[in-house]
Amino acid sequence: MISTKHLLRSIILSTLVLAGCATVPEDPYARVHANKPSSILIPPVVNNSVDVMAGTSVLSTLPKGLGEKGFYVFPVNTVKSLLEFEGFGDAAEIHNLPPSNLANLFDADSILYVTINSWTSKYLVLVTETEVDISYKIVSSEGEELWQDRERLTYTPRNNSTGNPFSDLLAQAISSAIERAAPNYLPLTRQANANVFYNPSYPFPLGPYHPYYLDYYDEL
Amino acid sequence: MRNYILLALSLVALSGCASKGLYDWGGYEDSLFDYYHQPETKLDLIEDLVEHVEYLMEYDEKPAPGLLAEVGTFYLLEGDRQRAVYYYRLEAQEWPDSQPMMAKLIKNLER
Repeated sequence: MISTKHLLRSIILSTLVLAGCATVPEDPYARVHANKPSSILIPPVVNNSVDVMAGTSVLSTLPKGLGEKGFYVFPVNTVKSLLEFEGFGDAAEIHNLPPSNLANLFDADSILYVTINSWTSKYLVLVTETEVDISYKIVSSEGEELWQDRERLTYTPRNNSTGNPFSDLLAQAISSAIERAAPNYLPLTRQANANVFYNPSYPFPLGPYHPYYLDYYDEL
Repeated sequence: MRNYILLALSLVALSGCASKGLYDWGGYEDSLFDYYHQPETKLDLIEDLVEHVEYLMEYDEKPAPGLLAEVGTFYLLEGDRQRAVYYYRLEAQEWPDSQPMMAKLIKNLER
């Protein structure tokens, strides 16, 4: 027996997924497509929140997110260390440097500037909710803005249900306690980055090291 | 039955959209994050990352962008310039985009 509800759900799912693959009329990546950067430099993240671990957690998860898109992502900790060595230890100061100077220092094609606008955890009884607001901006080595986005996300650590309501409740309480001690930074930032770069409706373009790069640009 | 076909179609479409992993990053993200916040575990983290890139090279798998250079920098920060240069050279070989930056680093270290 096929229930209508299930059938409908499948149709909606297929349509949504298929729509995710189709090209959208207005191209938010027009300037990225025209510029075709091969490499992306990610200087340290500006953290305007009071959470001291937020900046490095975003920085730690960006290379994989964009590397898997086929770009050469400059080694973020090497970049950070080199800039510190050159006397630039403050992320905001680095973001204020002329982009062309920064790009030239590393021979980068583009720079991704990331700013954490806010990062707040709400401690509820059974779960801890973290609300984040992060801005992303990519600029070419000539200083032209290629793209920008802003991600607002509410994150609650996920639990696999055991099927037993009592142990589920316990697991949630434990998970909440863990989140309080050391908030679940990396899964949260991975989710935020994924929402921005792997959005099914308008996924971020591919870079030259991706096997589908040529097909991607052929189909534009 | 049609239900299952549609579901299968969705799954095919989904896998078509999702990108398969290009590289094996090992524990890079976690290591880096811990490196910043648990400095007492620093040496273990460096060892893990070194083991990971050695494993990749042994099996001829292309290391993810930046990994070899990060290993080099960890060695440099521990005072081992020779190993740092070794890994910076490997990064430059694997990733042409990194060559100018790696050349600068190597030049400074060999001065």
